[in-house]
Amino acid sequence: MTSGTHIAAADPATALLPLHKLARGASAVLISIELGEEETDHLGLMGFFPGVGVTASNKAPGGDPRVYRIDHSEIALRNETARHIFVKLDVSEQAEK
Amino acid sequence: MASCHDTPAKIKPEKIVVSTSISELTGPRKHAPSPMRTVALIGPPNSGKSTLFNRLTGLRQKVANYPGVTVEQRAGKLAGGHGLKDITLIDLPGIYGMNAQSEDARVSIDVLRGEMPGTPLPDAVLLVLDATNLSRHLVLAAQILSLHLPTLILLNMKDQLQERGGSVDTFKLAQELGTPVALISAAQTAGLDAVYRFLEETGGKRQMVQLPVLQNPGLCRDWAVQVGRRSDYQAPASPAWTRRLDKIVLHPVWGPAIFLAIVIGVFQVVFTLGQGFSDWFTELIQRGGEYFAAYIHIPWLQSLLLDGVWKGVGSVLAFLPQILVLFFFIGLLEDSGYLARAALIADRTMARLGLNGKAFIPLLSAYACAVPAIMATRTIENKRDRLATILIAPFMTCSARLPIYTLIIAAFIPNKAIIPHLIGLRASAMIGLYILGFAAAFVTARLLKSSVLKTAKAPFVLELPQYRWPTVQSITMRLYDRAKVFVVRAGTIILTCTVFLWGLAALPVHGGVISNIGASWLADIGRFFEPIIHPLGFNWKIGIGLLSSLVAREVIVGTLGTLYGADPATHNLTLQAAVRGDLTPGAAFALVVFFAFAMQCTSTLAVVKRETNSWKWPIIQFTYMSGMAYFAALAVNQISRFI
Repeated sequence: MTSGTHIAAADPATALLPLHKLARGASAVLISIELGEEETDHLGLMGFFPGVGVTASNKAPGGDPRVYRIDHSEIALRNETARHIFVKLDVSEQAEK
Repeated sequence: MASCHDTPAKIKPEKIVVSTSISELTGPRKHAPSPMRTVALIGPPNSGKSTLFNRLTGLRQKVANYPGVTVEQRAGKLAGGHGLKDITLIDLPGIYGMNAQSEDARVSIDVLRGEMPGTPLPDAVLLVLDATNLSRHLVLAAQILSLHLPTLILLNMKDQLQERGGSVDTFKLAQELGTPVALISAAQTAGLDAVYRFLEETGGKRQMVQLPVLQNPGLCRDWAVQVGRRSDYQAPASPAWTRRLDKIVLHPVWGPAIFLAIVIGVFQVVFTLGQGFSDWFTELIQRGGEYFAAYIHIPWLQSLLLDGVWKGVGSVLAFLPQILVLFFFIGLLEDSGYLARAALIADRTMARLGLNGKAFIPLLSAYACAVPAIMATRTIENKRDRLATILIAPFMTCSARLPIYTLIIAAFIPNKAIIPHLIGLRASAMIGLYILGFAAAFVTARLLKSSVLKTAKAPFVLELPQYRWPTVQSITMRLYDRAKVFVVRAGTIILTCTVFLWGLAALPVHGGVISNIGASWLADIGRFFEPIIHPLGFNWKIGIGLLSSLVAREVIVGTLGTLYGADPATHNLTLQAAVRGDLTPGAAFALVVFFAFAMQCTSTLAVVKRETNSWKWPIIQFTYMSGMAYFAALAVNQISRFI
């Protein structure tokens, strides 16, 4: 699965987006992690797994690494990792805010 | 769901202390003799585990390494008048889960299964979780509880949970998990009596609790969320202060500015204050030695005690101020939560070296001295990154290289300006040497990270903890701990090497009188090596200087002073003039290049041995750096002959 096929979807509410493209302050639901088993497990222990809500937070100068908020934890990932994590914009949550 | 719910989570074991509140756990105690001997303390990073360990053991701690790994074992006897003084508390490494890929987790698993050589199977486990982050941390709880050891779950940060409007029913949570749960605040020493109560009452009985074996993180998370919901867990509000502070600290403009101000400040203080203290300390030790020397009338004994043993003790103690100053700052940065932000800001720069942001502060400190810098790599969780940082740190131009650099530059480079009133020729030569050291570190890091230390598929994941006020107790414990580890473990090696090299420089003894260095065994070795260093443009005097500087780089200046002073031909010259007469410019350049690369520092080697828990890495490092120094100096000298 490549990121290209995900981004191709037309409706922004259903389009899959690589995590590092999530705009600051925007919330999304994590859909899939396209990484090896070890990396996926490691990310899972930190709270990254399908179904969880993620909000893009601060970022380092130059935009890499970026900080993501899951529950109240803030976790930084390099873009090289985040580009393999796909999310769907959480429209309902954005409306709440 | 099967893997998460193989067994029902609701289990009501008969003889288990299940708390309804702290008061129940802290009520009147039965003083039954406890058969417990060893209790393991475990929890995720930033859960306040170390604070709790310090509170429970006080100064009765011992630090060692687990056999064959770099993981430190911290153990201590339980403090406090609770009739439980024979219990040893083992502080296991902070881990998020029992993921066997990480060395820390492997050590924890081995200890909790009783498979760690030299460490008995713990009689009970204290599991510390961050109460403000329960859903995520319950995943670790399930993994720990599945080991079937009597376990007390301590939900730490009670104060923060309550301040921010969160709550949890510990009674219901205890029922869900089938093990006692207590809400505590390690930082405020609240609720700790629950620990003593548990240890007295559990008495080492194994609980027959079946808990889910958790494989899939998503399912585990679902399970954790359900357990949290059934325990009326109300997550606290977002930490407002941390968010506000992060807006400034991670601001695109202010963030890097604050970062630079802090790191330059730390470096300045380590370099000036730490170095100042070190010099003052060295002076004091030397004066003390001279004072006592007056009472020893046998010359060789006087030299052994004064120039061997006492100097060795002195060179160990001289590192202490820098270590303490650096660790004071690292303590402040780490405990307050800023260190993680600094690592975030520095990450992109360090990624070019194949390292991560956490390597920045240790590498910067290495410009003052590699010894505290290597000890500071402990903040880097990834073992391969940590090892790479340890291996490149000694390339950074430390203050011990400055005496020989200054001597050679002053002797061979005219005091001219490149840009009048701004940059001189000598200053640029010095800057060039700094760049040379950094370039060597850069190349080495890239080499290591693309070969032997290539990071396994563990992505760089950095949790940004909430900001907290560092506590005096925590900082004091850290300083005490590092000082003790350095003096006891590295100090003995440094002392032994110093005395050994003194022996080589002072023997043989003729009629009760020790040799002059020029007639010593060290000189014989220096002359023996002369053919090897001859292509570098070095004579036997430089050879002796190189050998003697194995104790510490700056020693070469003193050795050369002694050698030229003893030689009638150079007796009346200044050291600068003597060196200028003895070396060609090419050889002089080769000498400083040699010092830029060579591992001329037994203290660093001793610390690397101590931190990597093996002789393998210091030997590899010494061989690599010496080889690089030799061939670089050879190239410089040979090329210079054609210019």
